[in-house]
Formats: sequence, C-alpha cells, structure tokens
Amino acid sequence: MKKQIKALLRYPCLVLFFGFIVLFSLADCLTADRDTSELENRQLAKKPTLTSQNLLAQEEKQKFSYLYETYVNDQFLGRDGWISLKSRAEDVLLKQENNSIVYGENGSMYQKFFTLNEEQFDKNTAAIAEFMARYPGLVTAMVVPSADRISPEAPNAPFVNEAPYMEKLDQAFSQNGSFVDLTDLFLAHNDQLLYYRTDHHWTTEGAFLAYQAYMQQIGRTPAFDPSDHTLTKVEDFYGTLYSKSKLYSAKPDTLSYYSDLENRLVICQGATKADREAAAAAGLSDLDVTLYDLAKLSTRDKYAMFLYSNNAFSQLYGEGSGKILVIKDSYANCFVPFLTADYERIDVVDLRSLNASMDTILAENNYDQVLILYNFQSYAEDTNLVKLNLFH
Amino acid sequence: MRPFGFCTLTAAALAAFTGQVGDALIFSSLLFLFRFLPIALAVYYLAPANLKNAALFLISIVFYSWGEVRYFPVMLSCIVGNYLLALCMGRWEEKPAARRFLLVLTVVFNIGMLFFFKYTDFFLRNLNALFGTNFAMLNLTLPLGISFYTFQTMSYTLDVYKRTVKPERNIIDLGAYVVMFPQLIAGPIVLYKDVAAQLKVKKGRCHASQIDEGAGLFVLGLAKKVLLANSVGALWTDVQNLGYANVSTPLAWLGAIAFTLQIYFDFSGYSTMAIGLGKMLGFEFPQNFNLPYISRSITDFWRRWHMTLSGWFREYVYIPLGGNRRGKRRQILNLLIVWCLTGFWHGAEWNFLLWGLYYFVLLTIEKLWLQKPLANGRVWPHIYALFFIVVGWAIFAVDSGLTDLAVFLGQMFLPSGGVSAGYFVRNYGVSLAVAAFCSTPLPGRFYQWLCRQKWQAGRILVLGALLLLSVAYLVDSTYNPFIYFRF
Repeated sequence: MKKQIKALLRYPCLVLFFGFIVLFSLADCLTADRDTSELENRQLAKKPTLTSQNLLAQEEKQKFSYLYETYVNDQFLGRDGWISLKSRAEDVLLKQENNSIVYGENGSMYQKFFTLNEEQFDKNTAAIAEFMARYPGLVTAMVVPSADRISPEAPNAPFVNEAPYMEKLDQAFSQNGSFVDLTDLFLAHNDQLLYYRTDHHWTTEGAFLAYQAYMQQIGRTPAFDPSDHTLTKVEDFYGTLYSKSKLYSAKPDTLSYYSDLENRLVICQGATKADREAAAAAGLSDLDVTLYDLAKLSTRDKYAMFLYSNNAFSQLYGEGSGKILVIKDSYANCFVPFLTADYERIDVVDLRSLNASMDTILAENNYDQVLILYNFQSYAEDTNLVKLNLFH
Repeated sequence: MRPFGFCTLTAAALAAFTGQVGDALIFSSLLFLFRFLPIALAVYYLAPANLKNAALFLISIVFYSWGEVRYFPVMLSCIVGNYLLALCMGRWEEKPAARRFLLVLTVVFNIGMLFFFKYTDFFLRNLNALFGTNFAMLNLTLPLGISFYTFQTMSYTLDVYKRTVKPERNIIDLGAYVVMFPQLIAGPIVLYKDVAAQLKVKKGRCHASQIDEGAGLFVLGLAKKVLLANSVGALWTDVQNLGYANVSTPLAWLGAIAFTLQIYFDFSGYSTMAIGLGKMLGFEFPQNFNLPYISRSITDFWRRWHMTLSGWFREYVYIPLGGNRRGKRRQILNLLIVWCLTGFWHGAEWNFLLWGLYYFVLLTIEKLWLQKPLANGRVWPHIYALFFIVVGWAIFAVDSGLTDLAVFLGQMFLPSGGVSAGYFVRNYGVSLAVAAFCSTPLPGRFYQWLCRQKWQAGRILVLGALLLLSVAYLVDSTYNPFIYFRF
C-alpha cells in the first residue's frame, strides 16, 4: 500500500486532478441547497425526484435529466464565486457583453436588442389599433424608447433602430387614438439619468418627463409638482441587468421615489365585478395597502417596490378628479404614482396576468382616459396584447 | 390525400423517437465532471479484473441513456445485429457465397439504420418537392451518436469479413467496444482492431502514467471546448440572429472565420477529451486532429482534419472501389463517390452535399494540376488553403437551405453594406486572436515542453488554471452547444 501511494506521488498531476474532482463532488453533494440566489435575483432549482413520468417525458424541460442537470448547475458549490471568476476572465478578453447584456460607459448596461420580431410587433400594433377603434378618442399609447437609443453612455453596437417603428406606431394609432413618441424629449434631456444603469427600467426622473408629456398630449395640466414632495434616495440598487450580466465590477444605482405619497392601493382579486364577487364568495380578499412596498427596498430587486410589482388588476386612489385606466408593463409602476395628483382613481391592468374581458372592464368603470404604456422592447416581444380584443 | 407508406401502428411505434433532440450528457458539463466521472471511474477502477468490460459496458449505458432512454434499443439492436452477423461469418468460413450474402446484409443493416433515422425525411421532403407528392415527415429524433456508432460497428463486421479481425464471441466485450463512453457519441471513430487487444487485457489494464497523461489531455480538451470554442462561437450565432441578408461583407467574413475556429475547437476539443478519457480507462484511441489550419493544401487539410473519418472512408469505401489502382478516371470517380458520402454523412441537407462536392472539386484540381506549385510555394499555399477552408465552413454552417446559403455567400463575395463588424471585432477580437494562436503548433509545443520537465509545477499550474477557468465558464454558461452531436 505504502509503495503504491509512493508510486502515485510520482504523478502529482493525477493526484491533484482526481483529488479536486472527487473532493469537490463530495463537498458539493454535502452542502445545503439554497432556495434563491441573491446575486442572480432568481429562484434556484431544487432537487428533482425520479418518477416514471419525468424519466419518460418527451418535452426537454420535463425530463429528469434536464431537471437534475439544472439542479446540479444551480446548486453548484461556490456558484457566485465561479461566476465572478468568469466575469473577470471575460474582462481580460475585453468582452463587451455577457448573457445578452451589453456594457456601456460608467457601468451602464443594455439589453442586447439587436433584432426585432417584426411579426409580433405588427400583431401587437394591430391589436391596439383594433382596440382603439372600439373606443375612439379614449386611448393614448406611449411606447418608451430603449435606453440604448437615448443614453449618451450607450456603446456603439448594432441596436435596433427604433425610429421607423415609432413612426409606424404613430401612423397606426393616430386615427382613433393618439401616440406619444418620447424619443425627442428624452434625447433633449439625456444629460439626466433617465434610465437605471444596472436595471432595465427607467428612473423616476424619466417617468416624470413622460408624465408631463402625456398630460400635455391629453390636454391637461400636470398637477404633480415635485417641489411639493420629498424625493427619497435608496443606494445600492443592483438591478435586473446586473443580475443577468453578473459583472464583477458593477457599480450600484440609486433608486429614488417620492416617499411622502401614501395613497391607497387595492390589489384586486378579479378585474370585473363578476370575478370579484366570485373571488369574495371563495373567501379571497383584496390586498389593501399603500402604493409602495417598502420591504422590497432591502432586497436586490428594489424596483419591485413600486405598486407591489406586477399584478393583474389594481386600483390606486388619488387626490384629483376622474378615472383613468393604465394598461401597462412594469415601466408604468414608477410612472403611475404621479397620476395620483390628477385623478381620483387610477386602475392598473397588466395583461400578462389578466384573465378577463377588457370590454367588460371598460363598460363597468366609465374611464375618462385609457393609457397604454410599454417600453419598446417588451412591447415588441409581448404576446399578451391580443388580450385587449379577447372575450368581448 | 392520406399519406401512405406508414400505417398507424408503425406511426405509433415511431412516435417514441420523435420529439425534441435529447439533452445528452456531454463532457463539458458540471454534471459530467462532478457526478458522472468520479462515480464511473470509481466503478471501473474498483471492478474486479474479469468484470472490467462489464463495468465499462454498464457505465457507458448509463452515460448513453442519460438524456434519452429511448435511444437505447436502437443502439442495442446495432450491437446484437453486428455481433450475430460477425459470428455467422466466422462460422461459414468455408462458404464464400454465404459470407458475401452476410456482407450485403451487414451493409444494408447498418446503413439502413443510419439512413432510416437520419435521411428519410430529407428524401421524403425532396420527393414531395419534386413530384408534388404528399408524404408525411417522420420527424424522428436522431438517436444520439448514430452516425458514429453505426460506422464503428460496421467497420468491425467488415473487418471480420476481410479476416483482419476474429469474430468476438463475448457480447459484453463487443458491447463495451461499441458503447465505450468516451468515443460513443462524437468520435474519434475507433476501429475494433484499435482496441480489441486492450479489451482482452484483464489485469493491469490501467497504468498511472497513462491515466496521468489522460487527465492532462482531458483538461486541455475541456479548455479548448469551453474557453475557446464557446467564446468565439457565439459570434456565428449573432450573425445568424441578425439574418444572413443583414450583415455587411466584413461581418460575414468575421462570422465565417469565427465558425471556422469554433468548429475546430469544438470538435477537436471533444476528441481530445475523448482520447484523454480513453487513456484514463486504459485505451489508446487514434488521433483525430493534427493542427488542420496550418495545412499547405486542401489535400493536406484532409489528412489533418477528422482523421478517423477520412481514414474510415479510405479503408471501407475508397480502397474497395479500387482507389487509385484502376487509372486516373476511375480514381476521380472514386473520389467523387467518397466526397459525396462524406458531405452527406455530415447532415441530411443539400449544403452538406455541396460542401462534399466542393472538396471533391478542390482535391481533384490539386491532384491534377496544383501538386507541384503548392509544394514549391512557401507562404501562398497557407493563404490559399485557409481561404478555401473558411469558404468551405461557410457552406457548411448555413444549413437552413440553399437560398440562405446563396444569400450569405453573396454577402461574403459581393461587397455589401449592413450591420457593421465594428462591435463584433471589439467584443470577440481578443478571443478570436487567442483561438487563432491556439491553432498554431506553439501551444502544443509549449505543453509538450512542460510535460518533459522533471519538476511538474509548470504543467500543474497550467492545467489547474485551465480546469478552474473551464469550471467557472460552465457554471455561468450562457452558450454551450456542441456542433458534432447533430451528426
């Protein structure tokens, strides 16, 4: 035995290779699993159990082999450290992107949005035009240009040129509704930080500019005056773009919000009266809160504090007059608070989780305005805008 | 019109093979490195001497069936079929007619299996296009590695026919050869005669020095695949995503060059890992790549690229057809046959056939006129060879139809605008330069030098760094395809 060990030591490479593989495998198996990754801002895969169902599954993502491999990757010992090592190596190779996030100046990051799905874009545009045709004069659409179009910090990369598409939207919507193209306004103010550097959302400053533009479009004077309110800043915000790129040298953003707003927000169970009654009968109750979820400020995904993130249907109560319906993606979450100064009630619909007829919602509420608010990229890729015209 | 040819019953049986491409257990994955490998090697090393092959068979079956258990019967029937055919050939030693019949059966059986899974849809599709018929596609999932293992089993039975090897009586030993996991799904194409002797060694099959060498090769192969191939390969995917028609001429060339480097490091990386794993198990597999991009001619290139495949075609197609012994005309015809088959072996698409023909033309021209001038040149033969190799890979890479290929070649050769190369040069430039450098003999020489040092610190340092970096890239892997799995 001693002799054999001595003989083995003549091959240090072999000993180290097997030592590393075996010991690391053991350690990896024995350490406790994590539920979520703070760094990546997502749930990690859990250990799957082998069943005859997942063993014989046809669909790739239902196969045991797939589930188990995802589990091993997600729970790999020292995952965050390995990710940081890769990020450093990529830096040495002068890589300008990781995981579809492109790097710009001053630590700014951008989605690698190089191609656009024309078919989906046209489908969405047609869906909104059809919706507008049923409610002539009521609906305004606002599609926010991507940060890479606006920010002077954006790198020189073949991002989709959004101008011709904005043109298309303007043409499609001008007949029965209206369209707000924010591009020129944003370019004129691009010395301000209109978008977060590490998050795919716009900042409260960007949203405020858009709010003014929208009010002007519908012919109302914006009632929200920032000087009447307290702007609170929250440091150390590492956003979604960071969570995807995992750039080791990333610099955090500062998130800001008007902290004195304490408007009532009701996250409803059901979007129509019938749905709400059915939910109430089933013992489900609405969530009655104020518009900021302050608990989110101590987590990675701080932007989720606005309006308690994305819910199918919620109602926000303001100090103004009239009612407005906002059909939106998450960009609207930090925009809607401004509307509390102008409207008595702001209803917010997120089509991604809505399962009700828009026509019923409109018929039941008698809105003064309807705003459709999306950012360009999620607009181009969204597959739920068809719901505007479903179930009528 | 109701598609005829396959009744419902066969359709139901076939349904088992349709669906998505199985997620294979590939060497460059955490699952392989930190679950499968330690367990498999422990089982293999600890197995008693006379059960080594059974252990190898067993772990290889697990490896093969990991991503998709449905493939297993196909592979098993391939083993059993060839086992029986070879045994019969041995039994009918004195009956040439019967042996010849078995030979035909062997070819029909193996090629038939490959053809059925890989080419049926291609032919149906083209028949439909040509005659306006309406055959339904089978949409079969290609059983993992079928292009490789049918060639291997066929070579075994053909060798039995040629009497260069004796029929194997022990089906476990034969099975262990066919499913031996390192070379199972992507080569190198190991012939039975390469490993037959070693399969019979029961005691002392593995030596520490060989395992040590194998571990080193495995890490080098892993690094080639994970650090080089994946890193430049994403560029070709970018080009595809942008659309062939939208890229400018410089970007089209950059994309083709990136694919050229990707496919080399992808495939040779996998072969290097396979050879390394083979050594760890006590087997010597043949070399599959010998610095193909330093070739001085296309003829030279094909002596250095996927050497076991070219060797296979030479031994089992070209030479039986008469090779170069029946005059120049016949030789050129033989070359044409071999290159059509080579192209087609790579995939059931027209572009692969075109790619084979492209090499047939180049090789014929070289054979007839260019041999001397190429031998006398110093620098231009390299440029000449690289130019045609890159263009060849462009033909190979655009596998979505000849229209797309024409569009892409148009972007390459007719100066045209479009998405500029600037961003991609910045993003991939260093990776491309590193990969290009690694295509030269220098890194290999450096590693050999490190291995020769009495003190192993340098080798340990290099391999350790490569292993750790590869693991880091695997943990945060956003792009880890494997090109040769499709074949």
